Amino acid sequence: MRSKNIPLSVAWELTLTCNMRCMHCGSSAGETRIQELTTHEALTLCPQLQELHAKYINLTGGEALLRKDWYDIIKEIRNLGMEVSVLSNGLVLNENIIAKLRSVGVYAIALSIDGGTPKTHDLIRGVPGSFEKCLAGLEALKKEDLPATVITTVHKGNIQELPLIRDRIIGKTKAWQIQIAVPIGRFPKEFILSNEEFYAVALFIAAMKKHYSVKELAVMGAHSIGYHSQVLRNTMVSPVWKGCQAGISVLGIQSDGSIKGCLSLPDSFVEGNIRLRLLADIWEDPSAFSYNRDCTRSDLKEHCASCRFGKTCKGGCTTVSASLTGAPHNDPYCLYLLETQMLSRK
Amino acid sequence: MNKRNKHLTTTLQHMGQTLGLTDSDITNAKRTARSMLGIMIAAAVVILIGKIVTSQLDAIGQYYTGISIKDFGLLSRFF
Repeated sequence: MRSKNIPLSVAWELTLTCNMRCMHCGSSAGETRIQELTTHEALTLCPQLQELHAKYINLTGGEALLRKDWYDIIKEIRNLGMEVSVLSNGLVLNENIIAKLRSVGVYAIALSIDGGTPKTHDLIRGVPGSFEKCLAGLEALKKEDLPATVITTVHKGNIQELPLIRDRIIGKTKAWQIQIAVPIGRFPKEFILSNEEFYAVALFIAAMKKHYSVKELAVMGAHSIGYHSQVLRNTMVSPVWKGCQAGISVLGIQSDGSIKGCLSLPDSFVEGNIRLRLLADIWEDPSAFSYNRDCTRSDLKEHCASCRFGKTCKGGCTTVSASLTGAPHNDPYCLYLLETQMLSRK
Repeated sequence: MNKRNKHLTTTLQHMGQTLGLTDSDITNAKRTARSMLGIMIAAAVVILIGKIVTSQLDAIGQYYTGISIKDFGLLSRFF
């Protein structure tokens, strides 16, 4: 019998090497991680993912395309029947890489755009000229009819530019995912969004989702922007929030083979390493991912403990909760909570 | 408009102004009976697909099965 939990969506950090130094990077990417997987180890991991019935493999970094064997790894994943998406900062995209991506058949190529002006984007990403390069990459992907999407990570340094970003990317991308930066990696705490700013981002997403048809611009909030709003339309992709999926339907693989429920989680959430155990053994371990798999109402903290949605919500995003409060199941960026506070304040 | 709704609308307008949202955008951002019905239908479809595709499984099927950028368009119409 198959496991109750299946890693349908896998985020795989191919390398921590990066040609940018983004201020919000949760992985503090830049230098190559110590003891990254060899080509042989990476290719051996692919059938292990298939064995666990993984469906969507999202390759990320660092900058995934800086790894020399990225094409071989994608080819292997595709040969095994799994879907692949690639998250890139767009800096190394060229005709050759685009042709390879086209030949292998990826279902999405996500480029990061964090500012509506070159000044803001380049400042955040630490590379002068990267804004224009990224937009050119977006154009090139569109020209080749490849499924390009844009991801924007929002914080105090760029929240005001959401409308500008929208204006720059409209017509060039299939989808726009908006996510929030949280204090992990090298992200400076003073740039964390206030509750009001967070709610304003959700408001913006809800408005844009209604304003644009899916064909014009499919706007979506990441899984960390939402939860049981009594005021706004749904801000996320999924119409139902069934709690954080780390270790349930989501799996994170670090470039050194460490396994986490979600790649965004801090290293204290590492469950094992594929160099020491088979992936299936780590995934099926009865004691693994207990923060989500064994979560009950008694694990919920503070406002989540008494919340009427607590049982299914399980306290929102584990990464956001852990990074902002020090513990899971207590995500303070919760639309329902903020609305309750907003309406009680007159 | 009752006092609660007025307070809410004013707050949302204030927040929205900072991101260039008009009063019309604010109205559109709010959920309505129709959008709630849509979300219920979409949720039912997702859960049904999940149950069928990954029968006898719990949370996974209900959440991710069948959802990807490929079919985002279909689901998003209901949001």
